[in-house]
Amino acid sequence: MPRLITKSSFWAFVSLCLLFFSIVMGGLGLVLWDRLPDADRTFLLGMAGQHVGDLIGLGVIFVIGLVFIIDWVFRLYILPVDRLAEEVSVIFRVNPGQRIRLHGSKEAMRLATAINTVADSFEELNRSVEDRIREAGTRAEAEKQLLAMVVAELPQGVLICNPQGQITLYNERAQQLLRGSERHGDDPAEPMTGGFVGLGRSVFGVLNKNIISHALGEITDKMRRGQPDLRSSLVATGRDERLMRVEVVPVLGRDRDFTGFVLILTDISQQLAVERRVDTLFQTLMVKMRAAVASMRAAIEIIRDYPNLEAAKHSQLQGIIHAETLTAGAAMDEAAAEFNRHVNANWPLARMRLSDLLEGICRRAEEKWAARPAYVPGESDHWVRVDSYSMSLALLFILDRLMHESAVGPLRLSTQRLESYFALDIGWTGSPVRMETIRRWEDQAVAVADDAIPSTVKDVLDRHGTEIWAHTRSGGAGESYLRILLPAADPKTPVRFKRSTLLPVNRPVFFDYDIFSRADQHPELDNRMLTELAYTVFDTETTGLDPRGGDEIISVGAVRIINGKMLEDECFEQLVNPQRLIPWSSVQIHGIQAKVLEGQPDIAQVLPMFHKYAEGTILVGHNVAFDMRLLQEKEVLTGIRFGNPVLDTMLISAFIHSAQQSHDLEAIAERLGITIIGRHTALGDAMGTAEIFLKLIPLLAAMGIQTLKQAREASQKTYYARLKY
Amino acid sequence: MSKKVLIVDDEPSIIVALQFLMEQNGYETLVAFSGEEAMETIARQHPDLILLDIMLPVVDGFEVCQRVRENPEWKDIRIVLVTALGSEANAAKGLALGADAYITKPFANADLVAKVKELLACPA
Repeated sequence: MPRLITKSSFWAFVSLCLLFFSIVMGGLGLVLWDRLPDADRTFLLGMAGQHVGDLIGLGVIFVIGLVFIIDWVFRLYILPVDRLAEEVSVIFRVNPGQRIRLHGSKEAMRLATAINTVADSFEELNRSVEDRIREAGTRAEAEKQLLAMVVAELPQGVLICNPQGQITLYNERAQQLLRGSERHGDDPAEPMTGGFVGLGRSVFGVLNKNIISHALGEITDKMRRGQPDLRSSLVATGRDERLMRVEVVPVLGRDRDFTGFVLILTDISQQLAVERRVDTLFQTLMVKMRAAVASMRAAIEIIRDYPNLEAAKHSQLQGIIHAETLTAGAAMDEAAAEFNRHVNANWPLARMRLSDLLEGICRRAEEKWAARPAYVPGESDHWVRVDSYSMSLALLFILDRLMHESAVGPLRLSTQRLESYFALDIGWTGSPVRMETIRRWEDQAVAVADDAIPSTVKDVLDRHGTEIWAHTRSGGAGESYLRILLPAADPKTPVRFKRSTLLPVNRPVFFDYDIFSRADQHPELDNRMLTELAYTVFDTETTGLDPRGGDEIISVGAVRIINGKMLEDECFEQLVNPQRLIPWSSVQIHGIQAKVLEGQPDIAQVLPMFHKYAEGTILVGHNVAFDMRLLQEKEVLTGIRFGNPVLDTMLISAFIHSAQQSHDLEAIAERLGITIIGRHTALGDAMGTAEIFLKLIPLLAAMGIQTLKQAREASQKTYYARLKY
Repeated sequence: MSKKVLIVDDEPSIIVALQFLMEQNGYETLVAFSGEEAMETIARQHPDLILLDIMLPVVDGFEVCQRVRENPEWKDIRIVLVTALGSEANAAKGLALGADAYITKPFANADLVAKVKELLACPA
């Protein structure tokens, strides 16, 4: 849409008209003067000479009056029309809820009212269309979200990359395995190390490029040879030096062209540790057993081959044999204990609250038999390691046998802590169950009503490293028990809860399906479309407004925009110790007090991480010259220079909405229908600025500004661009 | 003069048995319970044959074997490694380091005695 008359062009037009009027009037005057007789000229000159002051005064009043009239015309008729055009663009492009409120001539106000009426209908129509689109897209969206959920909840890390190694999809597990040390739970003064996992980022920032290249080379060779299995498997080091198995699988297009690759990451460090432990255990046991048996054998053969041994020697050799049998037994006991304690991980057991396990069993017993065992939960902090389903079913089987085969009375469950186990006692009043009955139950397949597993009770107990037996308690006359030991979980091991997933609204955005079909990236950013570029929108909180005067950064917040989407799950937020006092005036604005910053890293530690975070993106901010100045002041100290191209939302707003009075963050947000959450926090302002920027892009496009170069040139034309730090 | 056999092992039980065996077969026996003690005894007594365990504290049997073979004055000393380490790699290493024989525990007494007699009968 072509720009309407601007203020400067209006005054240029007015000046031109006045000049033209002056020239015409001057010319007419000269012509008349020329035709006047000399006497009339003399008379007029005399009159003018006598009343020169009055004439000048009249002239000034005339000019002032004229200026006021023209300005009044401009403010009532020209400026409102210009604003109407800008507001219409906002309503119909980015914010259908915006309504025009202006002061101007009656005609302009009538036009504004008419436009607002049309905007009401447009907003209603927009809503209706969006509802229809949402309905139509719900199923596809649900399927997309289901795939996203499956990928997100996989125990393996998954990364999908384009041929250039840019990440287009990843899940949380991949982030855990690859990212630099997490801040959550770690020392906050310890800055993050290592690369970032995020959409659009290079996978080579977090994985050794040579390893991936080697795998891709192997895959290419396999493709050339026509082999069916195109995957390549390798071992790489992830976060905290943990070992991962990395499977590289190519993604092929319809023509079997290489369109990307998938990395499936499995943490094998624990598995390797277990295997190493088993090996060590075995070796140690072998050596000890060999030594003991050797001594025994030597002694026995001496006794056998030398029947006339003197008594003392005979006795000594007998002693050796006995001592070595004890040594062998001790070695085997030690190996068995070590194995059970640390190595027996053949069956995957999970941590679970003991009370949850037993309450679940009681509930199912009530559902199946209308007979709920009495159970009073103990401490809620008791945890066990069990395969929940098989153990629950095995215990229900035992309860079933007790109630229906042995016909015992009401059952009671109680627990008792025994070192590395919890003893579960199933008690009743009546005769005890015989050991052979228990053995028979152990050999039976676990089945309760229509629930069954292909394991015997003994199998389930073995995989938990436990036993069941008839137990007696002191002082319990007439009371009988069966005792089952349940392996206790280490109370110091923190429990990681997986994030709960809600469909479809709360699924975090981890992927974009469109990037695979995009054209290759080109290095010339200036001629790239604004909609295609990657951005880091950031904001800083500071000790004051004077970068050159010693004011320092105390908080950095940033969020990335990829493919027109703000990636809220890939934010950067860090408090910074400014190593100086924080004036109360600045605390009143951002609320960050000095004690909060104690122990935080200083700018020399934070800036390199932020630089890495923003690598390869366009920097965007509101009144960003101030922030860039602060960063520039730290170049010498940190050695970090931000050479990224920069865009300022304040300048862009001033360019698009030149007729608007205010271009501060709140005014623009209100105009564009954006709510800023966390105002005057670095991350809150960064995210608000990002939303604003996303809405400014289509407004720029409507004015023919589509590339980065065009946006920068347009920004430079505004008044605000003259304000420098 | 009877040949001297040095028995090196940190397990007293096996030393008792081996010492008896060697003495019953006419050999003079010396005993060491560690690699360091073995080296001192070798330097002092110059045994004809060493029954050498590998799993010794601090200086293990492999190192003792290597040190003995590095000293030209001791090249006539025979070394029999008697050990609980039973893998092929261990045996290959022991023989490569200069042991004359590698016997895995547990062993038959008669086999051990036969090997000792064989080695002491032949010149080094």
